[in-house]
Amino acid sequence: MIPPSSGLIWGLEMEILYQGVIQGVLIGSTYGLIALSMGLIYGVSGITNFAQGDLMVLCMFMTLTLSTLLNLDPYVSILITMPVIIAVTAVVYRYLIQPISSQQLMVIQLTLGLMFVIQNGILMVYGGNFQRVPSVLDGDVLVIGDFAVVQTSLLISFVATWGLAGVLFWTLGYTDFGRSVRAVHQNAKAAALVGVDVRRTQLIVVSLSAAILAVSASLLVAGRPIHPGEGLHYTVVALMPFVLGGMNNLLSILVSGIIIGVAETLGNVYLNGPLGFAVPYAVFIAILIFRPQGLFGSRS
Amino acid sequence: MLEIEGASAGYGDLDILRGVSLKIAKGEIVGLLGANNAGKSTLVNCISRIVPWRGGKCVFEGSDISRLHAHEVTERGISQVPEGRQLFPEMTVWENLALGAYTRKARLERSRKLEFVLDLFPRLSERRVQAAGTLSGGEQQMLAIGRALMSGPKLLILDEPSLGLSPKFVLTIFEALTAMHREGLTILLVEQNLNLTLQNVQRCYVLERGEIVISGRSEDMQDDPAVKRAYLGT
Ligand SMILES: Nc1ncnc2c1ncn2[C@@H]1O[C@H](COP(=O)(O)OP(=O)(O)OP(=O)(O)O)[C@@H](O)[C@H]1O
Ligand SMILES: [Mg+2]
Repeated sequence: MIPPSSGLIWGLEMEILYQGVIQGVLIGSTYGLIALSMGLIYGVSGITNFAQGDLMVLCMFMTLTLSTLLNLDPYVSILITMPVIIAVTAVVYRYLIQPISSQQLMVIQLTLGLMFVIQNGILMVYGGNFQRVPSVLDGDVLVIGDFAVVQTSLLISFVATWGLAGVLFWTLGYTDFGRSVRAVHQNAKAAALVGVDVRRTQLIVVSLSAAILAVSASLLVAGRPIHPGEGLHYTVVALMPFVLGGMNNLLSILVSGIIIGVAETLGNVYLNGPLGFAVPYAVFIAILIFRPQGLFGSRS
Repeated sequence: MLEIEGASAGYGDLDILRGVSLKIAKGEIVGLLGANNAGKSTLVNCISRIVPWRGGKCVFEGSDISRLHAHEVTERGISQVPEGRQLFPEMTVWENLALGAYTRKARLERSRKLEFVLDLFPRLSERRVQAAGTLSGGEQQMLAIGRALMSGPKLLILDEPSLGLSPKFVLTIFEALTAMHREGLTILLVEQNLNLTLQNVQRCYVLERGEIVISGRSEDMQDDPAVKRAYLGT
């Protein structure tokens, strides 16, 4: 006979699991969004930008400054961080990366260098402590059904992520601009022949990717502490779905982001410290061992 | 309409074209013949500005186009059907055609041009929502030509459109070319197929190792032994 208390514990266990999964899905969507911004750049230029996470952390610290100086809420500061990060990224891409874009190794070198420059720049300005950006939604929670309690900020990032992704899919799928982006991806030479300005398209897509970063930064900053050294972490959690999703299939990148997010939260719930942090990587490696072509790729 | 004078081009240390001169008048259909590696694709890719010129002049309708970007050349009215078709394989037939009319001017006439192309190649009409990569070789070539026509070009350049096609499809494609020429389109046809080309063009140039070695009216070239000799590279 089961003692009465074990039912209660079982219930608690399940609740922790549900919480973890929901939390993971919500946060993972935003990881997917960052991965999407990487996939966009890769799709039109073949470049993997290792500074992507640090560019986003730069946005996060911009929201911090905007909050201390102007008392702006992170959701509102998107209006400022977005144009700034677009300008920074576009200038770097146009004047540093595009001139050497035919030399793959040099580009990798450059994005890695950029990563260190940004990271150390932030460290110099803000110091090495964890900081918080206050938001109107701090501490706000929503109860879903009768078992799950989620932070409102996470729910907002989830909705915003899928909304943004929806707009992006539609744009890529059904507009002239979207077709030109896919054309550059599939055959840049042919794209130029039909009249697409390939370099301009690449620049626009890179800017679009930066815009997505600004949004992701504000979505993540509400409700979690930020640190200058986190860029690489974000780059890696974005790189994993980007690889799993098959490098250029945007929807599967987003779904893979969720898988990584769930692995991360459950790892933190069930395993202590460093072991917990390693779970998403273990899941990533396991998936690659069994499906080297990525989660959704077909063998070819 | 198009006038190339003393043009040279190459890749890295390699000089491929050495002082090529060539002229095409409005309404003409002109052939460019040559053996493998003669530099035919290099020449048409220079015209389209996929490959940079190293010297010489390239004038289209009175203005120098040798320094334009590739998309600007297309906007001026030169459309190329590249060697090996170069379709967007994961996009549908319709999307490939839509991209053909990408330039601002062409977009305004997209549906009219689409109708024209589907009339010319009714086969494409049945395959409208199929991915371009899954078409047969002949259908892909029709799509490549259709895509190039969507921009409403003044000059159409075709780089070996008969390559790898069955005789039936080659016939379809040359019939289409003849029909478009009759409607007033200016055409530069790059080919390796000597007889087929001479039967279908008015004038012809023969390119050999980066130089024009023979040029003239096709009737005169048909029985010229020098043509065959140059062409076979002996
Ligand atoms: N992108 C490139 N980089 C370096 N060399 C090239 C490149 N493209 C062509 N070549 C070289 O230039 C020469 C001319 O090539 P091109 O493609 O113009 O010849 P072609 O007359 O079109 O030949 P084919 O009938 O086989 O198509 C060849 O020796 C080729 O190897
Ligand atoms: Mg060729």
